[in-house]
Amino acid sequence: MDKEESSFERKEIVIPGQWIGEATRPVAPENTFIEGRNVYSAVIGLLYRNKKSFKVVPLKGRYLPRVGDIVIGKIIDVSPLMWVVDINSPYKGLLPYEKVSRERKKMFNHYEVGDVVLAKVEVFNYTSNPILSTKERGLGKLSEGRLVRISPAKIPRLIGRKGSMISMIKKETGSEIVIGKNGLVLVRGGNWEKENLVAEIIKKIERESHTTGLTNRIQELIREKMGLKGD
Amino acid sequence: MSYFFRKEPEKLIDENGKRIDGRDLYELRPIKMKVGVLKNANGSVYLEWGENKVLAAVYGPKEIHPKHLSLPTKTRLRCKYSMSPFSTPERKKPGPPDRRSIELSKVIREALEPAIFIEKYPKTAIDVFIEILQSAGGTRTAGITAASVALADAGIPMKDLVSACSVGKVDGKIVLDLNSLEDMYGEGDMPVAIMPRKKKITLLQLDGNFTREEFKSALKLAIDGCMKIYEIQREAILNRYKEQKIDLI
Repeated sequence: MDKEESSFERKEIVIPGQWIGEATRPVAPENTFIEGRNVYSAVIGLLYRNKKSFKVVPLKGRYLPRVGDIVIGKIIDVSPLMWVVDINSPYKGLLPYEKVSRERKKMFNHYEVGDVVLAKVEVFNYTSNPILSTKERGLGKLSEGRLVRISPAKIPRLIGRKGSMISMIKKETGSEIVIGKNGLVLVRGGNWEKENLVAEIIKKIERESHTTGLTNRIQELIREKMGLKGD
Repeated sequence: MSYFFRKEPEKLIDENGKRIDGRDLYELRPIKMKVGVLKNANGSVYLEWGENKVLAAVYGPKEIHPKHLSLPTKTRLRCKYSMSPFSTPERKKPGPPDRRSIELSKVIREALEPAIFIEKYPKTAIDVFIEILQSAGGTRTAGITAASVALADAGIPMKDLVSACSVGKVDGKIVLDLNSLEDMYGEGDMPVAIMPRKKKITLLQLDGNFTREEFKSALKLAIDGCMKIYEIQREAILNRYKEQKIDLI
């Protein structure tokens, strides 16, 4: 799978209704649709092609929850059974008390309105709102750092191929970055300037996600900025 | 503002076959389109079509309020067409939508809806706002053209864009893309919206008397016009994502 992924070659920007190619399988790839024997793009996106298949990566769009996604959300309401979480999506996330911790006593005061949490989407099938969970290790309240909000469609670019972009940023700046699939990114850098720098870098990646050679340019930029700061 | 405030002319088409604003019979007005002009909207378009100036904004898909309007399997598309008080030569009285605006909101919604995969985001709403800043004939077609690009710009999955333009009968001749004077003093007006890939018609209205032959040629002309509009829409979208290297950092 990984080998195949890396062989994808970037081709062009496509618009809704644009013909992409002949259908090889009866199921349309994501962000496309099939009519007759032809596949068309359904969104404005970048078309990648290899010999066997193609994929369309959207340039914009809202976050649709998927089971298994790690998201960053903000608690906006507390009810007798659950917290309601804004996950930057058309659907509000629900965080039931039993999905937080095994110790029942602590639950009610576990989170407050306004807290930012890292959670996992456990159940989502459109019949009800997505059910979140913070039971796993590493999930739960995020108490320090800086939140950066970018378009959810740009998250894959921020991560990069096999995590190349994000690991490069982490390494070059020495900061900790937590990515929510829903377009929220938490940056912990230890000091204000570094967090600012990383936030600006992330915004720059969002703006220029469709350009080529971005990882190298960003790396140069970080080195330059970090170098300047050292003087 | 060349012909914008003029009184009724004697002739709408002169002896050389040129129209009142110097166009040929089958010529569109100049069109400029800019995508992504509003920061807080999910998708937006500013369109100048001749002397029409239209701003279209799309918000969503988002949670629907009031909750009882939600559809269990579909997105609810809501459109609002409105004319600014300063958009017409005579100042329009501000206030709630009038009959005309309500009707246009409805026909625009029905023109756009077939192009959207509304089953992709059940229980949500997509809001489309079309604001006419300056009107000079054919604002509904300009609104549809702008709104469909704004929908695409919002990242909403669509089967196709929707392109629209009007045709009409002026001095007994079928002409493309009526301006305000031809609209007011002409003999007929027919706005058409299509989904260009399969040339499926999503809006067709007709005001005036056309013979069967006139209607046929008018419809053909309108579809040709829409295909030209489609190219402009396409250009506008691609222009937004041209290799841009902004160095704000």
